[in-house]
Amino acid sequence: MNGALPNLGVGLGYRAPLHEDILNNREHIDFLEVVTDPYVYAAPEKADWLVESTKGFPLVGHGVSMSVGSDMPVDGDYLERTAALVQKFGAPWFSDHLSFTKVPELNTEHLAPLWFTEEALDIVLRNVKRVKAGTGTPFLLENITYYFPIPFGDMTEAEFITGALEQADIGMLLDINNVHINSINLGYDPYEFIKSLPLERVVQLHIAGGRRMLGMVVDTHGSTVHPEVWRILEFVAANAPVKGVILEWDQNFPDFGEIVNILKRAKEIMKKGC
Amino acid sequence: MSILEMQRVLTRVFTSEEFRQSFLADAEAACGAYDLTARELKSLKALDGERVGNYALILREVRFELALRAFPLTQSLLPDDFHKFAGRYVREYPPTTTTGAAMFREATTLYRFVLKLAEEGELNVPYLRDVMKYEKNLFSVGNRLEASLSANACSEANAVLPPDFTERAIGHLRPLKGAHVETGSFGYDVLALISQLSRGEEPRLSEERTYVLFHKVPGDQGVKVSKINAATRDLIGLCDGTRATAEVISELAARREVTSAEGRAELSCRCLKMFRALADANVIGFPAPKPAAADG
Repeated sequence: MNGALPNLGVGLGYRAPLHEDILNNREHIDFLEVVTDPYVYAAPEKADWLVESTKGFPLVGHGVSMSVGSDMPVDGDYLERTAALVQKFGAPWFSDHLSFTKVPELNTEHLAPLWFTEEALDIVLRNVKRVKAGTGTPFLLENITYYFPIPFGDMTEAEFITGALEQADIGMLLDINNVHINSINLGYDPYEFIKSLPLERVVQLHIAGGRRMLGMVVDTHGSTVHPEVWRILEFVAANAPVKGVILEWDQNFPDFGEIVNILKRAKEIMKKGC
Repeated sequence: MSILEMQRVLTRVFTSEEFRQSFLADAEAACGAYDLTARELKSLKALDGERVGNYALILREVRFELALRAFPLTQSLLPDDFHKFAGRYVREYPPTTTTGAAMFREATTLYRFVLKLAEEGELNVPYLRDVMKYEKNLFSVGNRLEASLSANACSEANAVLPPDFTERAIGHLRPLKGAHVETGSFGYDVLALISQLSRGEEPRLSEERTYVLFHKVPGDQGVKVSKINAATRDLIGLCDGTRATAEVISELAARREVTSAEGRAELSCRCLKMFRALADANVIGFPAPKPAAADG
């Protein structure tokens, strides 16, 4: 299913504090991933300015509030605005997470884990169908970090993800750092996990750094890429038809040269893997 | 569908410390009000309580950090241990149902919270109120969709203004300051203050009442910021779309106890010049009067 999608290479999650550095280091950044939520309800000039000022970079969209796992309809207004935004970007795909962030009376504004049951899968499929109907841009689902399983489900996480991707006929954004973190916090083999996924559906990857806090590894996007994440990337590059890799760095920004070095290393790995 | 009930329980566990404590103490009792299947209740009771508690702490920090993002200069003034207030913040301002920009919502809430802390004496940071108010206004005018729409509407309204701004020509029109405009009163020369902080300097300013106008120009993602005087601030403040221009001028005359005809004429002249300038700058709009409804 990835055949029709362009190969975008290795890029960076767009963050406003990095704007000038991004423009000054174009040759090292193949594309940008834009978190869509700050633009979805904002003045349209903001998105116009972003598109204009990053001209020359392919853009993909990445949302955090579609909440396809919530047992409630997808927010039609949010979907419509997101669809229009990714169309403005000219994005070849956009993504959100296999999680839930809200119930009708409360929005946690964060990605909570799903209970891996048949019923929960049906809800995801229903909501993803709505998303697909509401946009012409291919939609990907991303695996999340989560710090506790919800016990007594019907299936494993890998089976749940596989069911969602295959039955909804969509691609995957495989977050390698999330797999690495979950493997530590929840105690499983990341390679066996990845092998259980329909790798032919992996379109894009995330790499990032985390840190230890509260007795766990937390997905902070605020440090360099862990050596194990590099090893997992090598494995995925050799086994999945990946179209793009994005480095996520949200805070505690280093000297931009360090970010460039990470992108270069990712490019080398992807080149070897093809 | 009771999975929704289970998700309701989970979101409350994640975001309400009080509910979480009662849930961890006795999950079955805490979930009594929810329509859960036996299987769902069994699953919830088997959750790793420590991990769930840690996740709640992470969520708390995520909310706090999201709110702080709108206030980069304010952050430079806040004490290093400001995050000790995160627990109180999420307790006193729990998340709600939402549509709309999460960051704007959290930023507005955090602003109120910080002012409250300052009033209680919990935060005694020089310049904090002014800097945070400045950044709040900048964020509000610069980011909100309503501001963008208002700027466009103002521009459209002013496209058909008469060339001469006289009381006869515009006295009947109802000037409107829309969502694309904010005025603020500050205890210091806040523009100088922001300039010093932006350069990484430690501010050294005396108290000086300053009024600042923030407004959005159509199609421009930036916000224009300029110092104004009290008279201009008062005039803008009266432009709520309900008073005719002549009424605004009369109101200002009353506030200044201008009773003579000459005084009124001079004030009118000054106000009309200011109205012209504000219309040209797209700060105040003069929408055409709505036609009267036809009798049925």
